[in-house]
Amino acid sequence: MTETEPPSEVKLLTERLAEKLLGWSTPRPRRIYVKVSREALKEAVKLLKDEGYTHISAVTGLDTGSNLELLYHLERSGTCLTVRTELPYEDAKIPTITDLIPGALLYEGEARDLLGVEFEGHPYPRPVILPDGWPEGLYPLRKKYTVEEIREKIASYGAGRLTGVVEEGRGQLYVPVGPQHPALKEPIGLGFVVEGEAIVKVKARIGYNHRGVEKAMENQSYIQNLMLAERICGICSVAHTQCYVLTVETALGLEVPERARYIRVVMNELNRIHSHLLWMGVAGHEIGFDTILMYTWRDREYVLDLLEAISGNRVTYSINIIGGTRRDITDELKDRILKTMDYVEERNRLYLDLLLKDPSFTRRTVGVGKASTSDAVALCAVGPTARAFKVKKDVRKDDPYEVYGDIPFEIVVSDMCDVAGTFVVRAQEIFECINIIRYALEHMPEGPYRIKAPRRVPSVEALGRVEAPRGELVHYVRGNGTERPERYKVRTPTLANVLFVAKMLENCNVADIPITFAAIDPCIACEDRVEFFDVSKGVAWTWTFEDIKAYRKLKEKGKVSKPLDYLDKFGGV
Amino acid sequence: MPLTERIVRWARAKSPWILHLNTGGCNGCDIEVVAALTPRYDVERFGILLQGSPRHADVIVVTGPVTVQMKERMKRIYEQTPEPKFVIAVGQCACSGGVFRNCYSVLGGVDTVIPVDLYIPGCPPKPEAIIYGIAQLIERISKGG
Repeated sequence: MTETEPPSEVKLLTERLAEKLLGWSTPRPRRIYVKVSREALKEAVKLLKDEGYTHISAVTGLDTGSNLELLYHLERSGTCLTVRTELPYEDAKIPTITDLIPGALLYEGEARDLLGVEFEGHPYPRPVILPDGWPEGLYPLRKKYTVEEIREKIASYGAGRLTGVVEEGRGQLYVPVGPQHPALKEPIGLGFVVEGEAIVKVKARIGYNHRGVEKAMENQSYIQNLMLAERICGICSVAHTQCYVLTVETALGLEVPERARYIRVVMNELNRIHSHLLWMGVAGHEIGFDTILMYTWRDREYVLDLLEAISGNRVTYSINIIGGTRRDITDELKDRILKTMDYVEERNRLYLDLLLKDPSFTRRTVGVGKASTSDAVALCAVGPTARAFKVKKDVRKDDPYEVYGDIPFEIVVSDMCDVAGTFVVRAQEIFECINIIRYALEHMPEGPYRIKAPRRVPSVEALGRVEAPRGELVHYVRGNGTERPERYKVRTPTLANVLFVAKMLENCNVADIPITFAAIDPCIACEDRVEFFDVSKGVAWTWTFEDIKAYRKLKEKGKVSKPLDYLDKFGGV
Repeated sequence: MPLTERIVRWARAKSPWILHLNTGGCNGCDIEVVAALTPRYDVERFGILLQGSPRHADVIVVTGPVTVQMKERMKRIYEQTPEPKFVIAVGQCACSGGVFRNCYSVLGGVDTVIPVDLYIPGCPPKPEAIIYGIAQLIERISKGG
């Protein structure tokens, strides 16, 4: 507990919840932790939502050894307020908050399946994450199960069904796509029920990439985990290590040298450029415009050359270490980076210009995957996807880490609210990245670029947030005084955007599926790591077109105000 | 060797069509495989073409460790590929499970489920390494597989 004056949110909670507020602390700027009793949780979330905490970053569940703990990480313009509550093992029940914040759906489902917390009134009464046939009562993140025990218990698991069971109506056709399919390079199962060209139902089954990284992290040292964190995703590998070192360094209270912070910023932005160029190529590929794929991937190689020159690797850079960076950026490299940036800037200008004028691109993207800003907010979309729908949100600006607070740059926002908007945002972000790199290289101070860090993390917790190329990335660590974390939690941007892309797909044609899905820049490797095993029915919930029509009618009459009201009354598929 | 078989071998070695399958990897190897197909490395000059369906493929390029969920799917894809077929395990995870060997949902390398003809280690292997591996495979195909 700090001696300082409580922030206004805490004052409000103290006033309204009285003795149900069990404690609070503000260990560092923009981080508030409050502890409430289980009965008061929903009321607390409601009060905070009215105060502007409409975004939920993650729900972390953890097994303390004596009971279960749930942490709801709410966010308002950069400030993270964590509501903590404790549940006993034998009666792990808590009311759902999905009616207040629909974006919490998958996070709650994850906590339920992995820790056995029952969320009363959760729109999905069945398992959301674990597959059918997963042993009853085997909650992987509970401490009483070791990795070996889990392996033993699931050894006989037959991997569930091979095809989805979806009822086709009259005149409808079920089109299964995946898990291996030509559109994305990663496995995801998508099932579409179509009527002619129009999509009637969407059904996604993810989890083919599920590995169980969080559990493995509990059994490895912080240094080993750095390697594992990097391999959560091979595309945003800098973002993951950045978030990892940021979180662990915060827990350690370690001050990293200024030069290392600048090097990290340069690496982050180079990573973002390569990721956005990669996405542009993939987006071109999804609409059959392979020339763009070849062009952008060729230019991406120049960025990879820089990353290789700095770190020695093309994909997994291992540049960030706890206490600084592994390598320095020399003056020679600086010149090379600046030269390449000029080239990339010129090429990017060409792509932006070319594609926005090219009818073969605009006709496939403008007006496709339309959704509203309020949906993006309610479903807690993040990153370039949210920014393409007029949500001005960027962790680099709202909750600056490293030296982003000192670097001038703009948050790119588009008001197009469609797939083309996501393209414009990413292309313009590349310009911002280039400017950030130029500024950082110019203002990089001399000095050491790493310091020695302790190997043991005390019994504290820390929440790190980073703007990955795909959006807000959240890591949470709980130390226990040893070399291994008590709990390590990762929430990746793709998971946050899955609910929203389901919304975008609702009004699409079959031919628009690949590009619409690609618009969020999905990264299944990232997402499935979150113990995502099998979402057996629908991305979040799926509606038939009849449902959507009925919902609109009811909404016009004022009988329902949100999709979830409708879901409660009439259900989804 | 009869003339027909020589023609068949020649044709096979000149056009190994590949199917790319991620069985639970981190995406790193996947982007390197795709990078090998794009202009700087351009494996298409060896007649290699990326195919969407296992039924059209000669070579299955597998990236990533095998997850529990992916095991049956991978077997099925292997069975759908026509003979003669070759399997390349790209990356450390596909070779042995790599950094993910301690995760409860990972079975290990690709060879725990299907036979593998060629291992390309690296985390991830550089496109040059992938090309070198493919060149070795082509040599093997031209000698009769």
